[in-house]
Amino acid sequence: MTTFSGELLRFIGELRLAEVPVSVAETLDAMRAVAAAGLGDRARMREALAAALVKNEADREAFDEVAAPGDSFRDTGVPFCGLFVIGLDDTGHRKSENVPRISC
Amino acid sequence: MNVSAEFVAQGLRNASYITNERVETAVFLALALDKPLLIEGPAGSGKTEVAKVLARMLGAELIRLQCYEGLDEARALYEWNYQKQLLRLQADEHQGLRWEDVSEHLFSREYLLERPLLRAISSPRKVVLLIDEVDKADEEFEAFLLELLSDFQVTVPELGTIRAREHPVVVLTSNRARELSEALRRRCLHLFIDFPGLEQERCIIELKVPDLDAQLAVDAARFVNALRKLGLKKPPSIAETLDWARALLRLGIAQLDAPAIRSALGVLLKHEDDRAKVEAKAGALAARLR
Repeated sequence: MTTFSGELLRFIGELRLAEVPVSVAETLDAMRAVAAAGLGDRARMREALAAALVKNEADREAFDEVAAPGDSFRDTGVPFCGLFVIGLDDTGHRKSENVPRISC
Repeated sequence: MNVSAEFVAQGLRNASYITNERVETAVFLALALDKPLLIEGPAGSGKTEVAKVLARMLGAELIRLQCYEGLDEARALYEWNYQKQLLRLQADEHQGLRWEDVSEHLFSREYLLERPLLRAISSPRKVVLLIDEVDKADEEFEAFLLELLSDFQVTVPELGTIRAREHPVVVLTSNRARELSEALRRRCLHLFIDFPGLEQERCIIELKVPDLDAQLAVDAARFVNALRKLGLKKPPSIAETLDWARALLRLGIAQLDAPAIRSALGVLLKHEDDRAKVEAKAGALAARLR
């Protein structure tokens, strides 16, 4: 089963591959940030992750790329890959039915 | 701190700070996670304003530390009040006290001059601590800040460690005159504030200079926006834009044509080179507004 923190770690792994440096402390900050910002509002969740993980404006582009869907994902209508494909309803609970597993 | 994202968004709006989701979220997280917020961006894009608005929003005192080259602990943290110590010493001497009796209280809080950082740490109430233009301070000073930022405590050798009773809300700003260390960045949440877009700047002008004609506000926003793309030495800040809008109002200008542009350019541009460049292009810039 996929856990939220698992997805977050995978997302951070993608960031590191894109040469955005992320420390362990920042990973924990990111978890606390998402917990505080909530999962209901995706734009807010995204900015929360950016505030905790992107410490240099030059890295923001790489972050946006990792967080944005590539061309192949556009058809699915899923707004983000990785972390963001977890289907969540408005209250932040997982939807069980609509989640295609997409690996980025 | 127990706050909601909605409270922060509403608070910023109530304080007439026009903003976006990015700023709202970063400010909210700084409060919710109790972490320092590092704000970077060009000079005059509204970084310092965030701290001021935050203080107003929380009803907290704003303590400001303006950084500069050569800023040291004595100016930022504390200093012994040497004159007062000396006077005390002389007074005690007359009473025939021995050194052992005197030295005991000479190094107490009474003789300590609190500078902004110590004041922020020792305040019994929550305060907003603004460490402005941290990139102007030396690297040594940045290193010294690390202890404060991660543990909210400072050490005075004669007194021991002073821990913050209430963690201050810490906002650091940087114009990137110098790259800040990774260590400092890691300890902070990060926010980049750029100049506002056209629509956002129009909103700011309308909000802060409500008497200005609506069309003139649109033109003013477009003109300033165009200026920032000219590669000037010092592109106009938001504050300068607002001063300029007020100047247009006072000058009774109805339309932003070339003479109108030339009439108050000194409010917007503070370098002679920039001014000459824009004056020469005033006609073309005015034409583009039509």
